[in-house]
Amino acid sequence: MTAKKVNFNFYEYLIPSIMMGGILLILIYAKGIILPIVLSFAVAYLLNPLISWFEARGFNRLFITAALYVFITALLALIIYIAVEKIASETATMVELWPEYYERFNALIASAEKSIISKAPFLSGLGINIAGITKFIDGKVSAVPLYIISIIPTLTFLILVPFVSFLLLIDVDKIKQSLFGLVPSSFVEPVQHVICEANQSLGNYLRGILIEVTALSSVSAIVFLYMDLNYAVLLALALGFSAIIPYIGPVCAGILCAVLAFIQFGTINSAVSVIIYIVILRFVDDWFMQPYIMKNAVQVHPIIIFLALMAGAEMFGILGIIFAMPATCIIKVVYTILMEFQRSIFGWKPTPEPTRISIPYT
Amino acid sequence: MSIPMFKGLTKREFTILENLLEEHTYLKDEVMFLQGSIGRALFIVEDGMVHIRVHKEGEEPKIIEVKRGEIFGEMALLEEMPRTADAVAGEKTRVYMLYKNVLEEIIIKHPAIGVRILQYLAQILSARFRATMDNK
Repeated sequence: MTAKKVNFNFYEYLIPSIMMGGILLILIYAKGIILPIVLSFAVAYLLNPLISWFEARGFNRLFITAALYVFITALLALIIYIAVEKIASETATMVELWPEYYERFNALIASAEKSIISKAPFLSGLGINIAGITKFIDGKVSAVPLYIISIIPTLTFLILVPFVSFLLLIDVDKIKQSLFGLVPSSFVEPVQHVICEANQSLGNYLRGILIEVTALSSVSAIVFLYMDLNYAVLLALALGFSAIIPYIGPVCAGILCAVLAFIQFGTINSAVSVIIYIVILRFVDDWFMQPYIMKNAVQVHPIIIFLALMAGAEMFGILGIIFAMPATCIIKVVYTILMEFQRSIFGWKPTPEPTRISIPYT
Repeated sequence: MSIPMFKGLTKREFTILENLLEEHTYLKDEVMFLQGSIGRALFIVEDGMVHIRVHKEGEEPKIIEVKRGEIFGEMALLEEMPRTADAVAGEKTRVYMLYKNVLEEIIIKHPAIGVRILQYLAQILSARFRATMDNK
Protein backbone atom coordinates (compact mmCIF):
# COMPACT_ATOMS: atom_id res chain seq x y z
CA MET A 1 0.00 0.00 0.00
CA THR A 2 1.47 3.39 -0.90
CA ALA A 3 0.93 6.71 0.82
CA LYS A 4 -1.86 8.82 -0.66
CA LYS A 5 -0.81 12.06 -2.29
CA VAL A 6 -2.34 15.00 -0.45
CA ASN A 7 -3.94 17.64 -2.67
CA PHE A 8 -3.35 21.03 -1.09
CA ASN A 9 -5.97 23.70 -1.64
CA PHE A 10 -4.25 27.10 -1.68
CA TYR A 11 -7.31 29.03 -0.43
CA GLU A 12 -7.76 26.68 2.52
CA TYR A 13 -4.37 27.70 3.88
CA LEU A 14 -4.63 31.44 3.05
CA ILE A 15 -6.06 32.67 6.38
CA PRO A 16 -3.75 30.53 8.55
CA SER A 17 -0.79 31.75 6.47
CA ILE A 18 -1.81 35.41 6.96
CA MET A 19 -2.16 34.79 10.71
CA MET A 20 1.27 33.15 10.86
CA GLY A 21 2.73 36.04 8.86
CA GLY A 22 1.20 38.51 11.34
CA ILE A 23 2.68 36.66 14.31
CA LEU A 24 6.08 36.57 12.58
CA LEU A 25 5.93 40.34 11.92
CA ILE A 26 5.12 41.00 15.58
CA LEU A 27 8.06 38.82 16.62
CA ILE A 28 10.40 40.59 14.19
CA TYR A 29 9.40 44.12 15.25
CA ALA A 30 9.07 43.33 18.96
CA LYS A 31 11.91 40.84 19.26
CA GLY A 32 12.57 42.03 22.83
CA ILE A 33 9.58 39.99 23.96
CA ILE A 34 10.94 36.73 22.55
CA LEU A 35 13.42 36.10 25.33
CA PRO A 36 11.07 36.62 28.34
CA ILE A 37 8.46 34.49 26.57
CA VAL A 38 10.97 31.73 25.85
CA LEU A 39 12.20 31.89 29.46
CA SER A 40 8.62 31.76 30.76
CA PHE A 41 7.90 28.72 28.60
CA ALA A 42 11.12 27.10 29.86
CA VAL A 43 10.16 27.69 33.51
CA ALA A 44 6.59 26.47 32.91
CA TYR A 45 7.96 23.51 31.01
CA LEU A 46 10.29 22.50 33.85
CA LEU A 47 7.62 22.87 36.54
CA ASN A 48 4.68 21.36 34.62
CA PRO A 49 5.54 17.66 35.23
CA LEU A 50 5.63 18.28 38.98
CA ILE A 51 2.31 20.14 38.96
CA SER A 52 0.70 17.47 36.74
CA TRP A 53 1.93 14.83 39.17
CA PHE A 54 0.11 16.53 42.05
CA GLU A 55 -2.94 17.27 39.88
CA ALA A 56 -3.22 13.58 38.98
CA ARG A 57 -3.42 12.88 42.72
CA GLY A 58 -6.46 15.10 43.10
CA PHE A 59 -4.90 18.47 43.94
CA ASN A 60 -6.33 21.64 42.41
CA ARG A 61 -3.99 22.95 39.69
CA LEU A 62 -4.28 26.62 40.69
CA PHE A 63 -3.73 25.80 44.35
CA ILE A 64 -0.74 23.57 43.74
CA THR A 65 0.86 26.06 41.29
CA ALA A 66 0.48 28.91 43.82
CA ALA A 67 1.82 26.68 46.61
CA LEU A 68 4.80 25.68 44.47
CA TYR A 69 5.59 29.33 43.69
CA VAL A 70 5.41 30.22 47.39
CA PHE A 71 7.68 27.25 48.18
CA ILE A 72 10.22 28.17 45.47
CA THR A 73 10.22 31.83 46.58
CA ALA A 74 10.81 30.77 50.20
CA LEU A 75 13.56 28.36 49.14
CA LEU A 76 15.25 31.01 46.99
CA ALA A 77 14.96 33.52 49.84
CA LEU A 78 16.64 31.02 52.16
CA ILE A 79 19.41 30.30 49.63
CA ILE A 80 19.92 34.02 49.01
CA TYR A 81 19.93 34.67 52.77
CA ILE A 82 22.65 32.06 53.24
CA ALA A 83 24.65 32.81 50.08
CA VAL A 84 24.10 36.54 49.71
CA GLU A 85 26.54 37.50 52.45
CA LYS A 86 29.27 35.44 50.86
CA ILE A 87 28.51 36.62 47.32
CA ALA A 88 28.04 40.25 48.42
CA SER A 89 31.33 40.28 50.31
CA GLU A 90 33.06 38.63 47.36
CA THR A 91 31.53 41.13 44.94
CA ALA A 92 32.47 44.06 47.21
CA THR A 93 36.03 42.76 47.48
CA MET A 94 36.10 42.28 43.74
CA VAL A 95 35.03 45.89 43.09
CA GLU A 96 37.50 47.12 45.69
CA LEU A 97 40.41 45.02 44.50
CA TRP A 98 39.71 45.24 40.78
CA PRO A 99 42.07 48.24 40.17
CA GLU A 100 44.79 46.46 42.16
CA TYR A 101 44.23 43.24 40.20
CA TYR A 102 44.32 45.27 37.02
CA GLU A 103 47.67 46.85 37.99
CA ARG A 104 49.06 43.47 39.06
CA PHE A 105 47.95 41.98 35.77
CA ASN A 106 49.71 44.78 33.84
CA ALA A 107 52.86 44.28 35.90
CA LEU A 108 52.81 40.54 35.22
CA ILE A 109 52.39 41.12 31.48
CA ALA A 110 55.23 43.69 31.49
CA SER A 111 57.56 41.34 33.36
CA ALA A 112 56.62 38.50 30.99
CA GLU A 113 57.43 40.78 28.03
CA LYS A 114 60.84 41.69 29.53
CA SER A 115 61.61 38.08 30.31
CA ILE A 116 60.69 36.91 26.80
CA ILE A 117 62.78 39.62 25.11
CA SER A 118 65.75 39.01 27.41
CA LYS A 119 65.68 35.29 26.63
CA ALA A 120 64.95 35.76 22.92
CA PRO A 121 66.11 39.27 21.90
CA PHE A 122 65.42 38.53 18.21
CA LEU A 123 61.68 38.68 18.99
CA SER A 124 61.86 42.44 19.54
CA GLY A 125 63.51 42.74 16.14
CA LEU A 126 60.77 40.68 14.52
CA GLY A 127 58.29 43.32 15.53
CA ILE A 128 56.14 41.16 17.78
CA ASN A 129 53.81 43.71 19.23
CA ILE A 130 53.56 42.54 22.86
CA ALA A 131 52.44 46.02 23.85
CA GLY A 132 49.60 45.75 21.36
CA ILE A 133 48.57 42.35 22.75
CA THR A 134 48.70 43.80 26.28
CA LYS A 135 46.55 46.73 25.20
CA PHE A 136 44.01 44.35 23.65
CA ILE A 137 43.86 42.19 26.81
CA ASP A 138 43.74 45.37 28.95
CA GLY A 139 40.72 46.55 27.01
CA LYS A 140 38.92 43.22 27.50
CA VAL A 141 39.86 42.91 31.20
CA SER A 142 38.88 46.49 32.07
CA ALA A 143 35.54 45.98 30.30
CA VAL A 144 34.54 43.05 32.57
CA PRO A 145 32.61 45.25 35.08
CA LEU A 146 30.76 46.82 32.11
CA TYR A 147 29.73 43.37 30.88
CA ILE A 148 28.39 42.58 34.36
CA ILE A 149 26.47 45.88 34.48
CA SER A 150 25.01 45.22 31.00
CA ILE A 151 23.27 42.11 32.41
CA ILE A 152 21.32 44.18 34.99
CA PRO A 153 18.41 45.20 32.67
CA THR A 154 17.67 41.51 32.21
CA LEU A 155 16.90 41.36 35.94
CA THR A 156 13.43 42.75 35.08
CA PHE A 157 12.84 39.21 33.80
CA LEU A 158 12.84 38.15 37.46
CA ILE A 159 9.37 39.65 37.76
CA LEU A 160 8.07 39.11 34.24
CA VAL A 161 9.11 35.47 33.79
CA PRO A 162 7.55 34.04 37.00
CA PHE A 163 4.33 35.95 36.29
CA VAL A 164 3.97 34.75 32.68
CA SER A 165 5.02 31.19 33.54
CA PHE A 166 2.45 31.11 36.37
CA LEU A 167 -0.31 32.06 33.90
CA LEU A 168 0.95 29.43 31.44
CA LEU A 169 1.02 26.76 34.13
CA ILE A 170 -2.50 27.27 35.42
CA ASP A 171 -4.00 27.19 31.91
CA VAL A 172 -1.70 24.73 30.18
CA ASP A 173 -4.50 22.36 29.11
CA LYS A 174 -6.73 25.15 27.79
CA ILE A 175 -3.79 26.63 25.84
CA LYS A 176 -2.96 23.21 24.40
CA GLN A 177 -6.57 22.56 23.40
CA SER A 178 -6.94 26.01 21.79
CA LEU A 179 -3.74 25.53 19.79
CA PHE A 180 -4.79 22.05 18.68
CA GLY A 181 -8.16 23.51 17.70
CA LEU A 182 -6.28 25.34 14.91
CA VAL A 183 -4.76 22.11 13.56
CA PRO A 184 -6.75 20.08 10.99
CA SER A 185 -7.94 16.90 12.73
CA SER A 186 -5.99 14.49 10.53
CA PHE A 187 -2.78 16.39 11.37
CA VAL A 188 -3.28 16.18 15.15
CA GLU A 189 -1.49 12.81 15.35
CA PRO A 190 1.67 13.89 13.44
CA VAL A 191 1.78 17.32 15.14
CA GLN A 192 1.46 15.69 18.57
CA HIS A 193 4.28 13.38 17.46
CA VAL A 194 6.58 16.36 16.78
CA ILE A 195 5.70 17.89 20.17
CA CYS A 196 6.10 14.57 21.92
CA GLU A 197 9.58 13.96 20.44
CA ALA A 198 10.71 17.57 21.06
CA ASN A 199 9.28 17.38 24.56
CA GLN A 200 11.22 14.23 25.36
CA SER A 201 14.61 15.38 24.09
CA LEU A 202 14.33 18.97 25.33
CA GLY A 203 13.03 17.83 28.72
CA ASN A 204 15.96 15.46 29.06
CA TYR A 205 18.37 18.23 28.03
CA LEU A 206 16.96 20.83 30.47
CA ARG A 207 16.77 18.44 33.40
CA GLY A 208 20.28 17.17 32.58
CA ILE A 209 21.80 20.63 32.35
CA LEU A 210 20.16 21.63 35.64
CA ILE A 211 21.76 18.63 37.39
CA GLU A 212 25.09 19.34 35.68
CA VAL A 213 25.18 23.04 36.65
CA THR A 214 24.25 22.25 40.27
CA ALA A 215 26.83 19.46 40.58
CA LEU A 216 29.68 21.40 38.93
CA SER A 217 28.97 24.56 40.96
CA SER A 218 28.75 22.72 44.28
CA VAL A 219 31.91 20.65 43.79
CA SER A 220 33.84 23.67 42.46
CA ALA A 221 32.74 25.85 45.39
CA ILE A 222 34.11 23.28 47.86
CA VAL A 223 37.39 22.88 45.93
CA PHE A 224 37.92 26.64 45.43
CA LEU A 225 37.18 27.35 49.10
CA TYR A 226 39.69 24.64 50.02
CA MET A 227 42.24 26.28 47.65
CA ASP A 228 41.52 29.58 49.45
CA LEU A 229 40.77 31.24 46.13
CA ASN A 230 39.16 34.70 46.33
CA TYR A 231 35.59 34.89 44.94
CA ALA A 232 35.38 31.09 45.29
CA VAL A 233 31.56 31.00 45.15
CA LEU A 234 31.31 33.39 42.20
CA LEU A 235 33.95 31.47 40.26
CA ALA A 236 32.30 28.14 41.11
CA LEU A 237 28.98 29.47 39.83
CA ALA A 238 30.68 30.74 36.66
CA LEU A 239 32.28 27.34 36.14
CA GLY A 240 28.97 25.55 36.77
CA PHE A 241 26.93 27.75 34.44
CA SER A 242 29.65 27.57 31.79
CA ALA A 243 28.40 24.01 31.08
CA ILE A 244 25.39 25.60 29.36
CA ILE A 245 27.68 26.81 26.55
CA PRO A 246 29.38 23.72 25.10
CA TYR A 247 33.16 23.78 24.49
CA ILE A 248 33.57 27.58 24.66
CA GLY A 249 31.97 28.07 28.09
CA PRO A 250 34.21 25.74 30.13
CA VAL A 251 37.35 27.03 28.33
CA CYS A 252 36.47 30.69 29.09
CA ALA A 253 35.51 29.91 32.71
CA GLY A 254 38.69 27.85 33.12
CA ILE A 255 40.89 30.66 31.79
CA LEU A 256 39.14 33.17 34.07
CA CYS A 257 39.69 30.98 37.16
CA ALA A 258 43.33 30.27 36.26
CA VAL A 259 44.11 33.95 35.54
CA LEU A 260 42.50 35.09 38.82
CA ALA A 261 44.39 32.39 40.76
CA PHE A 262 47.63 33.49 39.07
CA ILE A 263 47.00 37.16 39.90
CA GLN A 264 45.99 36.36 43.50
CA PHE A 265 48.88 34.08 44.41
CA GLY A 266 51.40 35.40 41.88
CA THR A 267 52.72 31.91 41.15
CA ILE A 268 52.30 29.77 38.08
CA ASN A 269 51.69 26.73 40.30
CA SER A 270 48.40 28.14 41.56
CA ALA A 271 47.13 28.64 38.00
CA VAL A 272 48.34 25.16 37.03
CA SER A 273 46.57 23.55 40.01
CA VAL A 274 43.32 25.33 39.06
CA ILE A 275 43.73 24.18 35.45
CA ILE A 276 44.43 20.58 36.60
CA TYR A 277 41.29 20.66 38.75
CA ILE A 278 39.20 21.98 35.83
CA VAL A 279 40.63 19.38 33.43
CA ILE A 280 39.76 16.60 35.93
CA LEU A 281 36.30 18.13 36.42
CA ARG A 282 35.71 18.26 32.64
CA PHE A 283 36.96 14.69 32.28
CA VAL A 284 34.58 13.43 34.96
CA ASP A 285 31.74 15.52 33.50
CA ASP A 286 32.30 14.51 29.87
CA TRP A 287 33.00 10.82 30.48
CA PHE A 288 30.86 9.91 33.47
CA MET A 289 28.16 12.50 34.16
CA GLN A 290 27.06 13.57 30.69
CA PRO A 291 26.71 10.07 29.17
CA TYR A 292 24.35 9.27 32.05
CA ILE A 293 22.31 12.47 32.42
CA MET A 294 22.22 13.38 28.71
CA LYS A 295 21.73 9.85 27.32
CA ASN A 296 18.21 10.55 26.06
CA ALA A 297 18.81 14.14 24.91
CA VAL A 298 19.30 15.06 21.25
CA GLN A 299 22.78 14.34 19.91
CA VAL A 300 24.09 17.31 17.95
CA HIS A 301 27.29 17.37 15.86
CA PRO A 302 30.03 19.71 17.22
CA ILE A 303 30.03 21.76 13.97
CA ILE A 304 26.30 22.39 14.36
CA ILE A 305 26.89 23.37 18.01
CA PHE A 306 29.49 25.97 16.96
CA LEU A 307 27.23 27.32 14.20
CA ALA A 308 24.32 27.51 16.67
CA LEU A 309 26.46 29.37 19.22
CA MET A 310 27.62 31.86 16.59
CA ALA A 311 24.09 32.36 15.28
CA GLY A 312 22.80 32.83 18.85
CA ALA A 313 25.51 35.42 19.56
CA GLU A 314 24.73 37.23 16.32
CA MET A 315 21.00 37.40 17.04
CA PHE A 316 20.71 37.93 20.81
CA GLY A 317 24.25 38.41 22.15
CA ILE A 318 25.24 36.62 25.36
CA LEU A 319 21.66 35.41 26.01
CA GLY A 320 21.57 34.01 22.47
CA ILE A 321 24.67 31.95 23.29
CA ILE A 322 23.05 30.65 26.48
CA PHE A 323 19.87 29.54 24.68
CA ALA A 324 21.61 28.24 21.56
CA MET A 325 21.63 24.61 22.74
CA PRO A 326 17.95 24.21 23.79
CA ALA A 327 16.90 25.97 20.57
CA THR A 328 19.13 23.65 18.53
CA CYS A 329 17.57 20.60 20.25
CA ILE A 330 14.08 21.71 19.22
CA ILE A 331 15.13 22.67 15.69
CA LYS A 332 16.84 19.31 15.19
CA VAL A 333 13.81 17.30 16.31
CA VAL A 334 11.42 19.42 14.24
CA TYR A 335 13.72 19.17 11.20
CA THR A 336 14.02 15.37 11.52
CA ILE A 337 10.25 14.89 11.75
CA LEU A 338 9.43 17.39 9.00
CA MET A 339 11.85 15.62 6.69
CA GLU A 340 10.18 12.33 7.60
CA PHE A 341 6.79 13.85 6.68
CA GLN A 342 8.23 15.15 3.43
CA ARG A 343 9.59 11.70 2.61
CA SER A 344 6.43 9.83 3.51
CA ILE A 345 3.86 12.29 2.07
CA PHE A 346 5.67 12.98 -1.19
CA GLY A 347 7.09 9.49 -1.60
CA TRP A 348 10.76 10.49 -1.22
CA LYS A 349 11.29 7.35 0.83
CA PRO A 350 10.24 3.89 -0.33
CA THR A 351 7.36 2.44 1.68
CA PRO A 352 8.87 0.25 4.40
CA GLU A 353 8.60 -3.48 3.92
CA PRO A 354 6.44 -5.24 6.48
CA THR A 355 8.04 -7.92 8.62
CA ARG A 356 7.41 -11.24 6.88
CA ILE A 357 7.56 -14.64 8.50
CA SER A 358 7.06 -18.07 7.05
CA ILE A 359 5.88 -19.82 10.22
CA PRO A 360 2.07 -19.96 10.25
CA TYR A 361 -0.15 -18.94 13.16
CA THR A 362 -0.19 -21.76 15.71
CA MET B 1 -10.39 1.08 35.48
CA SER B 2 -12.77 0.73 32.54
CA ILE B 3 -10.00 0.57 29.91
CA PRO B 4 -8.89 -3.09 29.53
CA MET B 5 -5.37 -2.06 28.54
CA PHE B 6 -4.87 -0.44 31.95
CA LYS B 7 -6.36 -3.31 33.96
CA GLY B 8 -3.93 -4.67 36.50
CA LEU B 9 -2.09 -1.37 36.86
CA THR B 10 -1.95 0.16 40.31
CA LYS B 11 -3.29 3.68 40.82
CA ARG B 12 0.27 5.00 40.96
CA GLU B 13 1.23 3.21 37.72
CA PHE B 14 -1.89 4.52 36.00
CA THR B 15 -1.04 8.08 37.09
CA ILE B 16 2.47 7.73 35.67
CA LEU B 17 1.08 6.37 32.40
CA GLU B 18 -1.63 9.01 32.15
CA ASN B 19 1.01 11.75 32.42
CA LEU B 20 2.90 10.20 29.50
CA LEU B 21 -0.08 9.74 27.19
CA GLU B 22 -1.36 12.55 24.97
CA GLU B 23 -5.06 13.33 25.15
CA HIS B 24 -7.21 14.82 22.40
CA THR B 25 -10.89 15.31 21.73
CA TYR B 26 -12.19 14.82 18.17
CA LEU B 27 -15.60 16.14 17.17
CA LYS B 28 -18.09 13.97 15.25
CA ASP B 29 -16.93 13.17 11.69
CA GLU B 30 -13.43 14.54 12.24
CA VAL B 31 -10.81 12.42 10.47
CA MET B 32 -8.22 10.98 12.86
CA PHE B 33 -6.06 9.43 10.17
CA LEU B 34 -6.34 8.24 6.59
CA GLN B 35 -5.55 4.91 4.99
CA GLY B 36 -2.01 5.07 3.57
CA SER B 37 -0.69 7.70 5.99
CA ILE B 38 2.27 6.67 8.14
CA GLY B 39 1.12 5.57 11.58
CA ARG B 40 2.71 7.21 14.57
CA ALA B 41 0.46 6.50 17.55
CA LEU B 42 -1.73 3.89 19.15
CA PHE B 43 -5.19 5.28 19.98
CA ILE B 44 -7.10 4.31 23.12
CA VAL B 45 -10.76 5.40 23.15
CA GLU B 46 -11.31 7.07 26.51
CA ASP B 47 -14.82 8.18 25.69
CA GLY B 48 -17.00 8.15 22.54
CA MET B 49 -16.84 5.98 19.44
CA VAL B 50 -14.67 5.74 16.33
CA HIS B 51 -15.48 4.37 12.86
CA ILE B 52 -12.72 2.41 11.19
CA ARG B 53 -13.28 2.29 7.43
CA VAL B 54 -11.40 -0.34 5.51
CA HIS B 55 -11.30 0.34 1.75
CA LYS B 56 -10.77 -2.51 -0.70
CA GLU B 57 -10.80 -2.12 -4.45
CA GLY B 58 -14.15 -3.01 -5.98
CA GLU B 59 -15.82 -3.44 -2.60
CA GLU B 60 -17.98 -1.24 -0.39
CA PRO B 61 -15.95 0.17 2.52
CA LYS B 62 -16.29 -1.99 5.59
CA ILE B 63 -17.06 0.01 8.74
CA ILE B 64 -16.03 -1.24 12.15
CA GLU B 65 -16.96 0.53 15.39
CA VAL B 66 -14.35 1.02 18.09
CA LYS B 67 -16.00 1.73 21.41
CA ARG B 68 -14.99 3.12 24.78
CA GLY B 69 -11.96 1.33 26.26
CA GLU B 70 -10.92 -0.31 22.98
CA ILE B 71 -7.72 0.41 21.07
CA PHE B 72 -6.80 0.84 17.40
CA GLY B 73 -3.76 1.84 15.34
CA GLU B 74 -1.53 -0.49 17.33
CA MET B 75 0.65 -1.36 14.31
CA ALA B 76 2.19 2.13 14.53
CA LEU B 77 3.91 1.09 17.75
CA LEU B 78 5.48 -1.96 16.17
CA GLU B 79 6.23 -0.99 12.57
CA GLU B 80 6.28 2.34 10.76
CA MET B 81 3.85 1.04 8.16
CA PRO B 82 1.12 2.97 6.34
CA ARG B 83 -2.30 2.83 8.02
CA THR B 84 -4.52 0.07 6.63
CA ALA B 85 -7.81 1.96 7.22
CA ASP B 86 -9.35 5.40 7.80
CA ALA B 87 -10.36 6.38 11.33
CA VAL B 88 -13.19 8.89 11.76
CA ALA B 89 -14.83 10.02 15.01
CA GLY B 90 -18.36 8.54 15.09
CA GLU B 91 -19.33 11.01 17.82
CA LYS B 92 -17.51 13.46 20.07
CA THR B 93 -14.60 11.24 21.08
CA ARG B 94 -11.83 11.63 23.59
CA VAL B 95 -8.73 9.53 22.96
CA TYR B 96 -5.38 8.84 24.54
CA MET B 97 -2.49 8.61 22.09
CA LEU B 98 0.56 6.48 22.87
CA TYR B 99 3.61 7.22 20.71
CA LYS B 100 6.44 4.79 19.98
CA ASN B 101 9.11 6.94 21.67
CA VAL B 102 6.92 7.19 24.80
CA LEU B 103 6.41 3.41 24.86
CA GLU B 104 10.19 2.98 24.66
CA GLU B 105 10.60 5.41 27.58
CA ILE B 106 7.97 3.50 29.58
CA ILE B 107 9.67 0.16 28.90
CA ILE B 108 13.02 1.51 30.13
CA LYS B 109 11.87 3.65 33.06
CA HIS B 110 8.75 1.79 34.21
CA PRO B 111 9.18 -1.83 33.09
CA ALA B 112 6.13 -3.06 35.05
CA ILE B 113 3.86 -0.76 33.04
CA GLY B 114 5.75 -1.53 29.82
CA VAL B 115 5.28 -5.28 30.28
CA ARG B 116 1.55 -4.80 30.90
CA ILE B 117 1.16 -2.75 27.70
CA LEU B 118 3.19 -5.16 25.57
CA GLN B 119 1.31 -8.13 27.02
CA TYR B 120 -2.01 -6.50 26.16
CA LEU B 121 -0.78 -5.61 22.65
CA ALA B 122 0.32 -9.20 22.09
CA GLN B 123 -3.12 -10.45 23.23
CA ILE B 124 -4.92 -8.03 20.90
CA LEU B 125 -2.71 -8.90 17.93
CA SER B 126 -3.18 -12.59 18.57
CA ALA B 127 -6.97 -12.16 18.83
CA ARG B 128 -7.10 -10.07 15.65
CA PHE B 129 -4.99 -12.57 13.77
CA ARG B 130 -7.18 -15.43 14.96
CA ALA B 131 -10.26 -13.53 13.80
CA THR B 132 -8.64 -12.96 10.39
CA MET B 133 -7.84 -16.68 10.09
CA ASP B 134 -11.36 -17.65 11.15
CA ASN B 135 -12.89 -15.33 8.53
CA LYS B 136 -10.80 -16.80 5.70
